[in-house]
Amino acid sequence: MVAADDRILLDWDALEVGETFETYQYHLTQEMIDTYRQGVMDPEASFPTISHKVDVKQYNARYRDAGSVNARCAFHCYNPPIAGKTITVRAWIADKYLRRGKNYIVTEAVSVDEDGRLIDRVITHELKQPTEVGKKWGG
Amino acid sequence: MGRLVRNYEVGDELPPLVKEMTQEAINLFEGSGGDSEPSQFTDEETARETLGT
Repeated sequence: MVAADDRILLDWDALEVGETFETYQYHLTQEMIDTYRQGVMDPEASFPTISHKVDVKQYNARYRDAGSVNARCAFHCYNPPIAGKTITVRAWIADKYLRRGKNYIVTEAVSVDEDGRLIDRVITHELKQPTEVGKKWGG
Repeated sequence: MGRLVRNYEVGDELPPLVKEMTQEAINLFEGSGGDSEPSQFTDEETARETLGT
């Protein structure tokens, strides 16, 4: 049996810049760090938090839409996270804009550990226009 | 393992970083983020749904 999807269907016009998402917490384990380092093929990779995609994750927890393209993403890395610490994430809608007739949203999130250390900031631009999605790859 | 420290000048070319991308590596990256469900990067059907194609 498939669970009902009770998320809000994205209405780009109604979406308000500054809207915040629920605070999100997770426990960073050494296994997560080791797996991340294997994935990026770098035994010294310091920011396994990157793979958690916490800004988009929080958007997707509240909204559903008909598809998207990741148009731009930036990570600002401050202090490497430490295994065993709980990471707290605040995420919000940072911007939305219309460019060449296409709708974009910008999500942003900041991660801090349980000792108050600033870990990183991620900013993602996503194209939210289903009719255009897929053309990039010739679909 | 120690790190090699160098002084760089603005405009210095950095050495190329070459890695062989594999689906296994992508799966490990996705899994390390706590996502056990198929994603657009690990599953073709999920990719079609996510990308709306």
